[in-house]
Amino acid sequence: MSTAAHARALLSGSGDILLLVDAATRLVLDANAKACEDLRYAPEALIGRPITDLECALQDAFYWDDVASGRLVELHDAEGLLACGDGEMLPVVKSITIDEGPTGRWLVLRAVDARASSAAADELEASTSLLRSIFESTAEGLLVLEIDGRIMNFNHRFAELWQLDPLSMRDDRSVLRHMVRACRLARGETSPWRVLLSRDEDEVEAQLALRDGRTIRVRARPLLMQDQVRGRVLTCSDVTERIMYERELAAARDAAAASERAKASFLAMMSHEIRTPMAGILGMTEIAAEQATDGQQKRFIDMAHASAEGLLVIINDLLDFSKIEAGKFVIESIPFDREALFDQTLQPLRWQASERGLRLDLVTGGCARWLVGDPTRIRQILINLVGNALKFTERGGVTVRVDCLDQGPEGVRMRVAVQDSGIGISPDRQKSIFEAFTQSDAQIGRRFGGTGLGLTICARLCELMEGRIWVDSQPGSGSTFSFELPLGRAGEQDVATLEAQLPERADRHLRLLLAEDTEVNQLYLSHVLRSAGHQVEIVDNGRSALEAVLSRDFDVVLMDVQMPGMDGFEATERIREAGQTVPIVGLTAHAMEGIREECLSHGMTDYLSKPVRTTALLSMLARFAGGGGPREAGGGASSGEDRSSTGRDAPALADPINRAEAIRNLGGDEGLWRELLGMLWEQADTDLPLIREALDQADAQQARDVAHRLKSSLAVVGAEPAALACARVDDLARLGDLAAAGLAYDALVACYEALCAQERDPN
Amino acid sequence: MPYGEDTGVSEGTYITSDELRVGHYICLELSWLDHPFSFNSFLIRTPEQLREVLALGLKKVRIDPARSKVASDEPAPDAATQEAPAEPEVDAVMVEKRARVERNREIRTRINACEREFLQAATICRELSKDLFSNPKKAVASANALIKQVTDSLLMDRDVMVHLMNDKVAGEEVYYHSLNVAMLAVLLGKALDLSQDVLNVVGVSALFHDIGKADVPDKILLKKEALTKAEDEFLRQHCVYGIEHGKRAGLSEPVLQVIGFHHELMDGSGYPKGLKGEAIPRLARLIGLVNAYDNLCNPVNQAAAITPHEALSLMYAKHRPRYDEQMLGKLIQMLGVYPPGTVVRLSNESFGMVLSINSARPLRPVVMVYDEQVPKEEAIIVDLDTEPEVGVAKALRPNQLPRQIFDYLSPRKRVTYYFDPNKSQGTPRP
Repeated sequence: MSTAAHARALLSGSGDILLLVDAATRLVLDANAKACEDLRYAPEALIGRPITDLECALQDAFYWDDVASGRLVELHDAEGLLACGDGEMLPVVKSITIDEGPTGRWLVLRAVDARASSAAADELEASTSLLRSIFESTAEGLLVLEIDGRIMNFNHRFAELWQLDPLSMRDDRSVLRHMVRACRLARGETSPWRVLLSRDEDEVEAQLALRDGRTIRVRARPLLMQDQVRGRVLTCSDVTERIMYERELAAARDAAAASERAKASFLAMMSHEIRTPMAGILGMTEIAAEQATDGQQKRFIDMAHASAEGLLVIINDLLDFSKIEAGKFVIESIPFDREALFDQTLQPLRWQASERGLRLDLVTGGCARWLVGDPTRIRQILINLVGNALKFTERGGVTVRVDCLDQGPEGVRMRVAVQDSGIGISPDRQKSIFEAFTQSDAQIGRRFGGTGLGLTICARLCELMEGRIWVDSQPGSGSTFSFELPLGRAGEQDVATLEAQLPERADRHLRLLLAEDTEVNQLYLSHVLRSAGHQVEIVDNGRSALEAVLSRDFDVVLMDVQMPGMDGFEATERIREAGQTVPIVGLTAHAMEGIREECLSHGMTDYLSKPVRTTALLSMLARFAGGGGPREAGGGASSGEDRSSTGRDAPALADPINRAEAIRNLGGDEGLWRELLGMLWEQADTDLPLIREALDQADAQQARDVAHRLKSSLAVVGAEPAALACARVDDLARLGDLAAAGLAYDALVACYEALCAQERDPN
Repeated sequence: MPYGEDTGVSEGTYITSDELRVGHYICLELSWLDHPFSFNSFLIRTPEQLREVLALGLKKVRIDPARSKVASDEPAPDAATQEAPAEPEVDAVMVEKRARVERNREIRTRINACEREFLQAATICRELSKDLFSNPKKAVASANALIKQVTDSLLMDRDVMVHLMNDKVAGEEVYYHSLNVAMLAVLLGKALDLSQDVLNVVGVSALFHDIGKADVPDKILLKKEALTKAEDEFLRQHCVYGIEHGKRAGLSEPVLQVIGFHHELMDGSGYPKGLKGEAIPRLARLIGLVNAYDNLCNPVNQAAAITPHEALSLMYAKHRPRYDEQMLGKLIQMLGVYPPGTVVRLSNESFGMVLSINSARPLRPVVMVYDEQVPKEEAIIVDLDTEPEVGVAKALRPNQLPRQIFDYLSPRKRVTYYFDPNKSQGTPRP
């Protein structure tokens, strides 16, 4: 009895679950306290219960079947599952030993609660499979290498990208070799080994070009565990499409740049080639209209002239816009006279305004007069804004206001506001009004014409000059277009130079006599002159002119050279013979060499070529208005007169080359200009003797041909005086006056030598 | 460890053959056919094995120290120093091994043949469900014919091989619950020593047990989430609907009983009537049991699927009171602790997947073994019945497997069984 008690004490003292089972009946003979506790059974409920009620792992079914058939086997540290009294399942680690009992064989089942480790295993499994899912769900191929280059893992995407059969890869090296073999190893390209085996602490990235045409980007980053580099993680993605796309993009960009360059030089050439004939069309239609006797014919020619003018505006807009868009527009920074700029710019617009019964006022607030900037472009903006304002204003007028903000010692911020009383612009159109190819609306475009690029050009010009432009408008109550530009102040030296160039201001109204036989010209010129505030008396022949001058006082006489009866020259001679010193300006349509000398020799003070351009006329009159006499002969360059019809010696005195303009016309490409200049030297060295020779041999056609081709080359580089002389050689040779052409040739050589002296490298 | 383009990767520890002893876990770098062992990597357990390894004449052998069970200072046992081993014995092993390669091929061939049979049966099955309402007589006749053919070939042998069908054959499109249940039910019936006449009833009633589901909307049948109370009630009605359809089709009374009562449970917790114990017709209990097993392995929502091993464990451990104890025991005996489709770790630390069960030896299944040196297509298939040294150590969940092993074994998404109808002599044994 005491042995049994000892055994029981031992049994109950154990921390393990202990069950004693009869092998024959497979019933529980005894259980310790721990068993009752863990399995949640009362001892009496446990004892006598079939062990198969408790043991419920699948393999137990087989085990106890074997026991039933007499095959007893011991178990050690086996996994098991015990059913508890409350229906729960207790995972255990168990051992079963065989013992000889008094009545037969006993089986001793010893089990330890394995819930903790099985829960930990479950959790581990859950997190492992989550990590694996994430590993497999990434869009990129992942390869994890150990620090010694052995492969820790890779995902299916990786195998797919590198087209490797994960099962045929026997070892780590074969995977890496497979990758390297797949690469196209070109000279100068990154060796794939470098990225595969890099051990840098930093990210290493390479784009590997594969033999099959694909490109795979591989990024290797260190695998850190507890701050220790344990290996590397390689991320691979197929960037073939992206690279192809980028290449196409780059190719397209290069092609676009090349075509942009070609376009720019083309535009530079076209700019010259279009404007020159346009000037011809304008001049000739004007002359033709003037000389037309048939009323209907004249109307047709006037219409042609108006169309040509419109066309020139459009062409200028388009050329400007194209140059700006191509980024080939160069902004100058030169000293200029603000007052003169505004006066001169607004003058012709005033005429346009008064023709339509509109006012055009200029209001100047406190603003510096001598500034540094690009007067040409400011003029362009001003003409555009005022022109537009007039175009869209039916009644009332336009006011231009000039103010200077931030007047510092170095510079100012000039603000110009052009206010009209026109139709106004709706708010939604205001937004897009400065964008290309929009006009207030299509109908307005048809009604008023134009390219619709004017405001866009203004906006871009302001941008280029680091200023801004904007509009305030109320539909029906007019618009105000304003722009602001930062401008420098001109230095003292510059101011002196500018003042010297300044024509006397036309602040005095002149009494003028216009001797002109053509009715159209009478109307046109008298309108211009009256609009400028002058008094005009008109006569239609030399005799009437003579009588008028002798009987009344005039400040200036405008004398048409060719008039029926007494012509302009004769009338002038008679006036001079009568002792009159009134300035007489000859008007002539002849673009002939020597016409200036002829005018002067007959006693005229100066001359203007027909068609008379308003600015040229008004600025010449301004010189007389100040009470000052006529300027020195040869001052034509600044008189606004077209040089193509001024005297022979004029070009020689002018700058032999207008380099800035030429470069601007070449889209700002100075290299191109130099190249062209180099070509010019070669051409001129050949062509000039050829012209001389042709003239000597009286071969007019040869002289013209060579002069013509040389003219274009001279014009392109901006050698304007030489180009004009060349054109004259051409003209005179065409007229068969080879002697005159010879003189023109001498002028050409003089201009050319001046050009060489200035620009040609003596070497 | 330096590692570069021109230096090799160290892939393990090598020892010379005279250092080799019992307890070393070795990795033979030979073709599987060039050595007499079942596995390329294994633990040397006996002096005989050691002698056989030495007989291969290798100068050095790669060992895995982590899996070896030998202390480095342990003196080499006599065997290692003994002279040449018994050559003829090894030759015999090699002959046997070549024979096994042959048998491998044979098993593969048989599984392929089996898959073809299965596909045919699946096709008939599909016709059945189409014909049942339009042409009930034809449907019943072809069901009878199919089952008769199965029981005929089944009854020729005492041992039956149950094979796992490849997903590619028994893919989701070809998964037929009723066919799967019919196969398992007939096999279980045979294990219960039912007569062929009764087995025929078992098979036919299994094929038709769910015909009432034709009246249940797919929305409920295919719903992956838990059913609402109302939906569940609706679903439960399929037993009642099934009887009506069955009567119209002229099915016999025992078949109608199975249709009506296959969801009754021994503890009275089933439906539609909540019958208890012996009150439930015997065949309804049988098919109800198999049906429950298949539903656990192949639920509508595949994400909720558990492994065959888990399914049987669950039924045995937790749901034992619901089922006929004798039938559950037989089912477990038939499918074993590791039913086909179970991924297992073997006692020699290899991984494998159970392909087939010989119903006479359920604890020693036929296993496809992962061996990185053998291409997947030629994977070693080991009949554990012929390998007393090796056993199954543990059933695994597929996602516990390392990636490359998962790829190699590619566990099935659907667990579909078919028995081996071509076997006439029992499993060839050495």
